[in-house]
Amino acid sequence: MRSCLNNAQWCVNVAVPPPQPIRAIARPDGPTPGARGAQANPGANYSVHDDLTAAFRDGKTMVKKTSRSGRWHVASRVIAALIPGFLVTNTTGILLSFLIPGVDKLTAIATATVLSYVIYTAIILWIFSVERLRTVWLGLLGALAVTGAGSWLMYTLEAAA
Amino acid sequence: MKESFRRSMAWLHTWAGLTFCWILYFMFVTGTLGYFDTEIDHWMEAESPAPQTTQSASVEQNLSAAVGWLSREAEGADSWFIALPDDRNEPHLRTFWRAPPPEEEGEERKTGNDRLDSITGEPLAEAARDTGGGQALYRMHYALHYIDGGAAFRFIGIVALFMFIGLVTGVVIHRKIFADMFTFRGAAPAKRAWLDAHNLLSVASLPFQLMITYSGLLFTVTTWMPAIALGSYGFNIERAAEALRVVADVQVERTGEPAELAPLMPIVADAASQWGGEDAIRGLDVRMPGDAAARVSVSRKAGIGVIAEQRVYDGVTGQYLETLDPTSRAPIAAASVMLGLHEGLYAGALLRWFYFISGLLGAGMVATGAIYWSAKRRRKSVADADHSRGFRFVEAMNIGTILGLPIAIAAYFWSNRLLPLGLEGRPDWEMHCLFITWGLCLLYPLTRPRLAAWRELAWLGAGAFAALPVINAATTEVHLINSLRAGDWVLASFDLTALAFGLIFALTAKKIGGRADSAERLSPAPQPTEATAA
Repeated sequence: MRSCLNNAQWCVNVAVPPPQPIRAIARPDGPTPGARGAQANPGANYSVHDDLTAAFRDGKTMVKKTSRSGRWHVASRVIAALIPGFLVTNTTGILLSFLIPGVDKLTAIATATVLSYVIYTAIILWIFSVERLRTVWLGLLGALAVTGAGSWLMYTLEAAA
Repeated sequence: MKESFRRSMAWLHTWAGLTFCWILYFMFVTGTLGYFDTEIDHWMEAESPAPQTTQSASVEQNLSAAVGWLSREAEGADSWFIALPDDRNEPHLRTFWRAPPPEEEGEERKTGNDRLDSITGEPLAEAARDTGGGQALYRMHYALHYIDGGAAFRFIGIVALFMFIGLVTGVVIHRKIFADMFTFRGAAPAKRAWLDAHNLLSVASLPFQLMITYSGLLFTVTTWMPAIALGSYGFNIERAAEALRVVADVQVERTGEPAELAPLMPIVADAASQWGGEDAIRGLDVRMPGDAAARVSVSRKAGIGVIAEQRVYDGVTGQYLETLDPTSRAPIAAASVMLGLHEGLYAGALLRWFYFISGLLGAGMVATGAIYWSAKRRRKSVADADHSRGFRFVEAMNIGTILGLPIAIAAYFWSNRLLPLGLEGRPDWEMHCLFITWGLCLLYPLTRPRLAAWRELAWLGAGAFAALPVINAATTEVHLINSLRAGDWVLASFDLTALAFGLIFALTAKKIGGRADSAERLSPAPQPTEATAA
């Protein structure tokens, strides 16, 4: 977990040195003086966290994803979460309120409403986990179109019935 | 793919947590104090007698006291609400009333809110010491202070969503959530120890944190997510309002034709017979009393939940009309229980302490996360002067909030004892004292080296809390010796808890003192990059 946070610099435009083999990081050659030395030498006491760190320092995972860094990517995702993400949460909720089977309308609405923050959270997690911005925006707009049209259709069918 | 997912979640965890971390900490601390709001009220209204539950009076006496008072004070009101005395949360008979909306725009609608003596029907004496009490502290965790409450509530909803995202991503990036519960390397390098502390606090209290955050969000659901219900009715507001009436309130139109209000006792007796006794009744809501359209609804105590079943009666004939029970729908019942769990009003003394401790763990979770963030970046900022200004700000905010807020709350209690009793706007000044102190604590770290600022503010906190019982003894009759002798455990616990906090701050200060010394001795040379040393 610790190393996840370390590696999470990919989005904040911080210069990171080229990947190094795990050994070289964990056990630098020769003793390092002072407190920094203690930090550079995690030592024999660590077990669980060292496993995690080692797994993460695997060369493959250290490859920088420069394409994903930069303020613009963060800003774009934040905007995507605030506007289309919020709209999709609502249209999904409305669609759910028509589709939840076997309950009366108020129960369905209440269910969709109580779950709305779960839906929103899932959408936000998705927005920040997808690699390409184009996928984020196309995905959100597509979902908005589908759930919006679906809600409208269900409402029209219900009104006609 | 899986690795990069975890990595992006780690990024989201960092920034979702950090963006509002000081406000989250403020919410956790003030909200946690809310679990002892009436107890803090009691300490702060030192001269008032201990709240004595007036349950000894019968329901009939309570009702006639309330109706007598309301008929005198609130004739022609749109609504009366009578809350029967119950327990800790509602120790006295209480009435609320609300006048019809004012005819001229801009005028304020008249309302009343009084605590009554159940026997005489007269309002209880005002507290001799005018104070915001525990209520003002607790209210800040959702309404903040100095800004419009409605706007604050919307904002708090966003902050709570960030907290929820922080929790979910925190769980996702954990590989060995069980092992982390037992991992604490206090002797390890500082930043690793902070991470372990963060994990330990978060994982150990995770169920509470998930509950408190999602239920907090549910409070804002009608504010932020009304479009789901509206959209389900094609955004036709009238249709939606009509359909949602069942889960909302009793709505009555005034006819203008006067009619005497039905006696309330038979109505209450009928509801009590349906619900297995008078103990099940929480209160009465009378709409348009004195009008031909009057309605009386009796609400039931809801157990853990906050949304209650109501029986509605005709306010003139006293005839039973209908039962409104939103909790007959599963999701509303679930939401009701979630909200009830959040408020914890049902909790007895022991559970209340668990709530208090869990809330403090939440505050600790936010604080350790913020400290870890800066501990991890400290060396980088030493090497980079531009970086260092923003970083210095974060460090100062960390110190000035994590230690400064508790000190400011101690100042709030000090001001309650030390401000002149006749001061105009005394409750406001108590609050000003809190925020002035906090402001000073935020500025202080900018003038001192980091560890010195931590240590000195921790000593200040130790002094501020440890002195509270002393100031209490110097200014009132309800000091520790008297409260212990009288067996008033609420008052005594306040003083004892203040002493305990003083001790915790002193131990913290001592611990920081030791660290500062060893760091100075070692005086490490700066290193070029983070990665080689991490």
